[in-house]
Amino acid sequence: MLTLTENLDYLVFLLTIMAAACVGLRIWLKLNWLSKAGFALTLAASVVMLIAIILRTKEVGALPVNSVYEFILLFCFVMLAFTAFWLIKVKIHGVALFTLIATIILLGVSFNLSDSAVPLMPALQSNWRVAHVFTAIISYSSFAVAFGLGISYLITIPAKTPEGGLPQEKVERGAFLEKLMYNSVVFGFIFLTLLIVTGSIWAEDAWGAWWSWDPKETWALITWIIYAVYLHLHPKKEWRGRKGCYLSVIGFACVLFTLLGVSYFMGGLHSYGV
Amino acid sequence: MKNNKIYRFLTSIRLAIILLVAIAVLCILCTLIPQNQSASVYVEKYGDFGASVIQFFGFHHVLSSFLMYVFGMLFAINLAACTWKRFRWAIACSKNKIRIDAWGSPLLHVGLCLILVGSVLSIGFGRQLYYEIPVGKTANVAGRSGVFELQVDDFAVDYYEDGISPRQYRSKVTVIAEKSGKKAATPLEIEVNAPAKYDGVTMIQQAYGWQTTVTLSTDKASRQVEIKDNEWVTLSGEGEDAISLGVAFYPDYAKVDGKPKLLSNQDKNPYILWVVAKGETPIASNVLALGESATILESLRMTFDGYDYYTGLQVKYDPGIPVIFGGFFLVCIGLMMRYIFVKKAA
Repeated sequence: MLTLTENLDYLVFLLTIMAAACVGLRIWLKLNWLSKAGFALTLAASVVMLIAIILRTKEVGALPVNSVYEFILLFCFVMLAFTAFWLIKVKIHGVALFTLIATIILLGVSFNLSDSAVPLMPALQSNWRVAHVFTAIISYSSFAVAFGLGISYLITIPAKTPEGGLPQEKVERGAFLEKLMYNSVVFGFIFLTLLIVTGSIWAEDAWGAWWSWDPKETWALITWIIYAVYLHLHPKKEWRGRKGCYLSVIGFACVLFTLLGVSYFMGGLHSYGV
Repeated sequence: MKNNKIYRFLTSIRLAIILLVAIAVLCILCTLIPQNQSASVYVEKYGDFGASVIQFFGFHHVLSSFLMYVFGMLFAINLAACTWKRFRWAIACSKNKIRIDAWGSPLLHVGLCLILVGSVLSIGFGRQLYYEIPVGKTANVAGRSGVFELQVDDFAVDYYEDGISPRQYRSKVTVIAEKSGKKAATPLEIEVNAPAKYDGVTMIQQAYGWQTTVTLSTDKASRQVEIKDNEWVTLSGEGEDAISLGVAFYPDYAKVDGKPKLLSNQDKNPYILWVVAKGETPIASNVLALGESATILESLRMTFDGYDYYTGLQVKYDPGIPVIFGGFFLVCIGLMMRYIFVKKAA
């Protein structure tokens, strides 16, 4: 017998699949009503996800930031809310399709995880936990969007400039995608820095060690370095194109490894709720 | 001219990027290759050639390897030089009117410099010691200006409804120290995520455990011994022939399917599971209820007298922390000034 929260999770899954189908068809058939339908379904999915999170908070008696399952729920809510905004304001359907597919995959992963409330260990009983988890969600979502924009650029803008140059439309689209990608990386980098700072201050209080070279901390630092390299190279014109997109892809691979790879393949102080 | 080239390279963004990537690669190796293990571990995992490469480059202790020190020092020089360059640029930009966005980058880089400086201060001048102090006992702790006594008055654990998972644990301590020629007592409370400070040191609640008190007696003599969980007390002999005693405390004991089971961490039915070993081989084992006695070896009896918590406190002196946290603040402020105000200016 499924709980109400589980039922809502499946409803979000279904709505997200329908939204992704509409957006995918919009890219193919170029019918505007599909874009509006995609927006409406994405907005509905994000509202239902928010209700599920509120119900989970009431059920558990604390904000759901304590396990990988709960982190995925929050992450999916942010991705859905952001995608709805993206579809109505910016209208780059390729990126919206990517974020919707990513949400579907993450929800699928969450169905295979235990949804039992994890009793919080004493080391996790801190207000820093909320700040640390929220900065993680915002920064990782931003890097996911930057990744989607980078892939969109690599697919839609030709690698080799044909004789006579690229059509003006392609040049403008490339510049637009690149600028959005840069802004997403900047936004994500600010929150990644806040993530590392909040985590370090919390670690000093909880463990007496602000930095322990724990695999999670080390990979967060590696991710920070990759995006710092991107920001330092961005002023150079040759890095405001495909090269920058490759860095964005590498950076997001580091994000995924920090979030999931470290938790599942490596131990350490951060192995909570897995 | 050559010196200028070397200077320009040492202070360049190109070198910064090379060093950042090199440090990132070393960090990746640090997480993928087991660290600080014996040589046989690397031979077994990577073969003879792989192990010799790892040991040659110091990848078995990446964080203290020659490569990490070289890259780290070059990075520190490069960072300091780039920070200075950015400051000069910000001053030049702000001659007629202060530009907030121009000051973001220098502040951010100063913050990074402070984090490095603070880390060096921590490594060079910081110290930390771990104390396990039973309730009612005292330990001498080194503060910044002298030694003080740390007396553990009480220790408590809050459990979740299952009675096994701790929600929080805390120590009530009294610091006894000389002040103006008189002994002064300062009560403090330490719990996880809420450390206490005294005389420049921070006391962090790190762990806890149980300590049992037993009396060991023969026909001729008896002595009382305090044993912590996972601790072994030598009864006689030494080396491989040593006879030793270890106990595991069960606050709420039950026998289920012939095996000892812990029902909860609350002391509703206290028992000890004792083991006598010769070398590393157990030779006798049983359980014992509170107040009961048993013969554990020929002519040696043990009585389970009592039990109490001990608190595990990390006492740390670290002059680098205020510098590092100051660095964090500047990095965050500098980032926002650099990127948010640029947008507003545009």
